[in-house]
Amino acid sequence: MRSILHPQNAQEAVNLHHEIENSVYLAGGTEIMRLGSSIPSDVSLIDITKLPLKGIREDEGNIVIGALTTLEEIASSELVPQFIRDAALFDASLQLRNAATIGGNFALRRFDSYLIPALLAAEAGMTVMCTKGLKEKSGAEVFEKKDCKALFMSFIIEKKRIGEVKRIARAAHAHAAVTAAKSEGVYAYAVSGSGIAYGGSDAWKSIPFKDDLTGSAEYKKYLASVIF
Amino acid sequence: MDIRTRINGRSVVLSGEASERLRNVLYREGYTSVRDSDDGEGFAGSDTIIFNDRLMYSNLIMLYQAEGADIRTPESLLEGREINDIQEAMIKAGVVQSAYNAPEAALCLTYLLEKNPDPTKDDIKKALSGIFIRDAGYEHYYMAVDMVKEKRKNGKISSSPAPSFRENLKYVGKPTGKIDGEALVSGDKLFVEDKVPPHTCVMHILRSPFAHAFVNKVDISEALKVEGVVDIITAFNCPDIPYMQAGQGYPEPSPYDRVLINKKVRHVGDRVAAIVAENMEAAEKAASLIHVEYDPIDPVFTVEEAMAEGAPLVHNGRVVYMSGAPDDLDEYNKSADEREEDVIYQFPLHGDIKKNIAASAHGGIGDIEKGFAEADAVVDETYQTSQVQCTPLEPHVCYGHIEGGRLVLSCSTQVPYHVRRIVAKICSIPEHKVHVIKERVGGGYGSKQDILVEDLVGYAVWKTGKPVYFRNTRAEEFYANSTRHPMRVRVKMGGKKDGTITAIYMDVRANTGPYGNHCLTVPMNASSKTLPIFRVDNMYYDLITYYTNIPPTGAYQGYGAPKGYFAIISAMGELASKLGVDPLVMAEKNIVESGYMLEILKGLGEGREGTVVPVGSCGLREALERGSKLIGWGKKEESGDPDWKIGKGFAMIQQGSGLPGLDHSNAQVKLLTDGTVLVLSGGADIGTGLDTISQKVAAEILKLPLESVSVVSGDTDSCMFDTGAYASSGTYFSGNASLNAAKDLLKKIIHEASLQLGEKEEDLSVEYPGFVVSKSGKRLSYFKLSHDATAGDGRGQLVGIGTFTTPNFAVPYGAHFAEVAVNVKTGELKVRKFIAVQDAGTPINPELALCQMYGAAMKSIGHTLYEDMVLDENGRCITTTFTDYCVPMINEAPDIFKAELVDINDQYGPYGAKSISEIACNGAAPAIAMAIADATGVWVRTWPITGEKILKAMGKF
Repeated sequence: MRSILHPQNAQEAVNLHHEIENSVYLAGGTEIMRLGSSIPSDVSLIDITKLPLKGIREDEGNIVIGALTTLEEIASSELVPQFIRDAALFDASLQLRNAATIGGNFALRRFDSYLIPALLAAEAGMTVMCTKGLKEKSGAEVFEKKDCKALFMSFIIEKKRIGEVKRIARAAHAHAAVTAAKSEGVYAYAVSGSGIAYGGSDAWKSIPFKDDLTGSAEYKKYLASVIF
Repeated sequence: MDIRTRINGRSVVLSGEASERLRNVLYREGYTSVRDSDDGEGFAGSDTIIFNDRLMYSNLIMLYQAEGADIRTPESLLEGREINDIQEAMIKAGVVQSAYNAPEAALCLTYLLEKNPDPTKDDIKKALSGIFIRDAGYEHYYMAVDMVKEKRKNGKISSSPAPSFRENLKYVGKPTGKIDGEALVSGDKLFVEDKVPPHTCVMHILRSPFAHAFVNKVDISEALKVEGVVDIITAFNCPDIPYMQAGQGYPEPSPYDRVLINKKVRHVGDRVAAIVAENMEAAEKAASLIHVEYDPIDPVFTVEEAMAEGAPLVHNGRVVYMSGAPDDLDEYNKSADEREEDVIYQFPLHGDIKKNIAASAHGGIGDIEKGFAEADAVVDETYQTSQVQCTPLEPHVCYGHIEGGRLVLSCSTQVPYHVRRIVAKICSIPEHKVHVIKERVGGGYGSKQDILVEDLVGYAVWKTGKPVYFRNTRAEEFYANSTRHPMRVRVKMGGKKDGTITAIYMDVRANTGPYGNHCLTVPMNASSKTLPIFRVDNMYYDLITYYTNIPPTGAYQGYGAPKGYFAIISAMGELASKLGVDPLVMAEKNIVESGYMLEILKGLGEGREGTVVPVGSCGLREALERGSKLIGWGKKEESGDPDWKIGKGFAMIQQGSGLPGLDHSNAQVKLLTDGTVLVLSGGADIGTGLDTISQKVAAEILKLPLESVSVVSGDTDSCMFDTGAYASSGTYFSGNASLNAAKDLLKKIIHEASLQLGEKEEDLSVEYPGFVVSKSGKRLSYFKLSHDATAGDGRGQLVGIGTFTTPNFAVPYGAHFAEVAVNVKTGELKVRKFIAVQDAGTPINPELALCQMYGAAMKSIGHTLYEDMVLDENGRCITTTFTDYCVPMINEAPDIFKAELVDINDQYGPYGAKSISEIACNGAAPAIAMAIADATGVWVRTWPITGEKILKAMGKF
């Protein structure tokens, strides 16, 4: 039987995650519960769904998106920059968008991630809860720290940020071969089975392209080179 | 744990483990409309509920998370037994067919219309974005929403979902709804899983990790000690009875090349042991304790590997012929391996297992070389199709138990009588000891023509005496199920500058995988359903089917025809391009018409000599003309974006209506004592509306209201023999049997009435609603007639019996057109328009017919562009989820999607009807391939046609 823990606040959640070696945060549950999940079935779940981490608000020229905000809420919000909304719609199923969260999608760091390229290109900031309390970090910094046990609290995006996202997949529900975003000179690429890179327009060149179900390495390399 | 929640407006306590999937708890607690098609993948939407006012997948919610939640399941849509207006509209629109997740689709649309009473097409698309529909396509869901809006505005639905045919008839050719539509859309307990009582044993199958290996030993001693384990069946304790799993008429044109569990495994996922246990935990634990000693052999996966000199032999047992054995058989069998099962042919299929050949055939007409010599241009290209899966929303499933000393099987099958025959054979019991009940089938598409789980469940029940339930996982549906045979089809075609085709040659090399299910007949269809559409004097085909170690193949809607059409129409398009001729002009110049004598059929008899017949009713030319008009053929479209190129393509197509000379259907129509009617049809309605056809033809003949006719079908105890629902036989064979039975009952009613009224039979007729009338003005209700016939001094209950067999063909024709947009920079592809025009004779259920065209065309678009079973280097399927395998959803549906029926009356079909759904699988691949070539200038000759292949063909990388 699975162990499920119910922290009363964000700090307690972080502490539990540090105390319990084999544990993950439970947000929307679409990864943890799905067939073929990357999360082993014997890990302890730290249920953060009751924590006050939902919602989208405006704050001094920025849009603050709570980490438990669902992709559908993001896609439907007129506060959120359009290219971020478009990225949320890359998850083609309404039922999944109603459950999946921005925090969960970011935390998984999947190479066919719906949101990560858009958030990196947007130079999103993040508020995270660490054992030492709240911290403001750049999304890129958090993204790079893959073993980070901090709890994502919110994502911060400039309200007037302009950008564009593209996703190339065989079908809307299929894994994307390449997902990419550009925003005000910053580019980000997620390439299935290969990696995620961001920076200038040629950032994709640093990705070690590999074959997988979505296509050959050379195909994906070509796509990344022409997608924008 | 117990949680408190509100379900459908009532406070409910749910019990279970905290982390248990909510779907499982809901189903267990009686909310049986909440089903599961994807084992929790979060894809197909059969588990959709409204959870705290949001559409969610209940498989992805844990029980404890429902504490205090407000939940609505599809049961909430009912008011007593009354369905809501959305469910009503779905039935009326024709989308409720196999309907495994129709209640969830209704829930999604109900939710949408509650939030937005006037939704746009995009709103509807969004609401259905998480629902996988395989049977009816998505197009008529938009219509259903329009109907709801109409009813809410005007109080009733006046718009028709389809045109009507045959003004002189009351029900036939009219969109009247489906006899079981309300029950299906309500989520009634109609499927096999709903029939399983508590404390039924489960079965779990230990499967081979090797693609090819001898099983030297299976030690089950430790596994049998696990508490709750009832029995374990292995190759070493199962009956040594050869059979094969294809549900074809006896004697079958497929070899008996297996027993229940073989001592040699031939694909990854092949059966090694079947564990019967009181619960799944015990079964899985037992499986982990079974020690198997394998002796691996090199596998072969492709036709090329199988045909190579010295290739490992997939079958190397003794070959036996039940008739027509060759003279040198004893010599041939000298090198047989005694460890392997026999390969038994009922009659020669021209196989040679020493070369991995399961079957072969060849034939033709005219002089091919002369034809090519006369040509101004010749193309010679090879086309490759991939292994694709039917993906019914309800996986293969069976529940069996013993009752009164007989074996009773609840099945989701297209062939209940073949199930009875094969299970009886395996259990070594006579057929009267087996009762097969075809429950509602949550999607068949050919895969449930094969007896893939009933054999093992039936034997396990008979052996143990215990009730046993088995259901394939979604992954097992991919690697232990029937799939389309991959084929390599070479087409050489020659033609003149005026567009006349002078010769066609097809070389079909098919991959049947580990067993020979349909190994001759599926590949034969690649030629037998394509060559007869051409009025060409010189045509020839060669066919060889090879055994390999890929996952099993078998029947899939369309059979071998979609692959043959992909090749032959693509070749025609390439030839037309080479000659500078419009391919439509070439098609129109070379198609058959009514009366054309089909000499080619002589060599296309599927193991027997074929019969030459003329083309019967044929709406092919009308379909081409109508389709070309709707697509705007000849008009070049521009996207306005230099990267997006637009192209058009088409395919003319045909199929069959059952197998004349082989298929056989029976029905009874009983006049009940109150004058209403019960039809007992042997036909297996798999959601397509066959029961509705039986209802309509009986009501039409007997002049009764539809409501006075009920139908029971596919129950081997109640109903008489029928070969089953495959090869597009339902309407033509089973429908004609019901028609004949109704006519027989009508005769008996007239006879009985003449005795009761003292009138001559020739002076009597029947009139609506259920009266016999005489020329002298007497009227006798069926009620009185039947009561008097069954009274103490009556002459007995009136029962009409109908049989249908025929040598006559009722061939459906059609033409499908596609318009695609291709991004020549990124390879992205969108089907902008798809036009399907078909001649189905008289469409008895026109709204259901149209939806089947949409559904079949979507499947065909799927295998053309998206779907692909991928094996790793060891033969293990690595695409065992819907996402990885990549089925099309609503977002992949063409922007403009139009199905139309041309009005043709057939000579032999019931009220002029022909088949409808299989043929609609044939058009998309060649039409889309041609459209891509039109847009980009390159032909992609392999399935699936991906962006990568297009870009590569264009030399982009």
